Amino acid sequence: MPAPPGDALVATISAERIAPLAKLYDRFAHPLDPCSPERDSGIRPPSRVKISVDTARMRDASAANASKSRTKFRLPTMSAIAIKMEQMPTPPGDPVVESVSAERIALLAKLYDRFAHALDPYSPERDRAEQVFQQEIVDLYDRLQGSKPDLHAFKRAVILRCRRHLRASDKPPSV
Amino acid sequence: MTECLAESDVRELAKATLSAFDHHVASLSPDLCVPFNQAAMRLEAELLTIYKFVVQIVRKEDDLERIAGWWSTMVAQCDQFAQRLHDLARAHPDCGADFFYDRVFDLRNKCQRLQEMHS
Repeated sequence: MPAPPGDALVATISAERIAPLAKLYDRFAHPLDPCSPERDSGIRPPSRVKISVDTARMRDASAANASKSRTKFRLPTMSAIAIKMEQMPTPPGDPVVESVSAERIALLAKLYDRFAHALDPYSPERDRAEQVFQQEIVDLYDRLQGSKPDLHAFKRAVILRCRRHLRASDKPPSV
Repeated sequence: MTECLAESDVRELAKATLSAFDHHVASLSPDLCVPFNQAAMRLEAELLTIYKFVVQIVRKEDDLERIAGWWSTMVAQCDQFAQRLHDLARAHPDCGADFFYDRVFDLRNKCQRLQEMHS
């Protein structure tokens, strides 16, 4: 990871000085009770920290950072990730789900998203979506021809396809 | 560096919330009613915040087993919050905490269904 600007300067502060600063920082930056007097007392450090600058060391660190930042990483874009996920092979146990049309999966994914990712768990829309999703799954299961997996495995496989569909379309939460 | 909260972080948050609730309820005058109702309402609201965090986490999760694990954690937290509200409702029957107990219990059942569905 490239060091942030100013890191070379901070590197000259001794570990003994950093330890009490870290303790204070932790107290006000990560309190579980933001109103506690202990948290606020952590904002004011009890004593000033004197920073001595080692210019030679700073120069060396800056040179090292500059060479690191020249290294470029090519990150995949979100759309490339989504395409890859759509192309991923289906896990064992859900070949039956392949018989479910893409349109049906899109509808099921919408229902699934509405209840499994509902930000308001008490909304009637959430409950209705769960109810319709369960009915749709049972309906699909009953219509399957030939040897069937058990209902739970089938439902899981449908959920997996729904999640892939949602990831590919990168849909924000609807409820 | 990890981007998401771990299940242990959620458990710790819930523990801190319950501890603050206990502390606050113990400081209330037993003759009053409204403060107990407000404490119960706040506790349920804080559980809902934890639930919303879990929703955001599971949306990004790919592994169904891990999703089931998150919902299992949520069920366990709902149980603890529900127990506090149940105790409060028994100690102060007129404060209306049973309303929030029912909501938490409803949430618990939904989380359990989500856990079973993904496991």
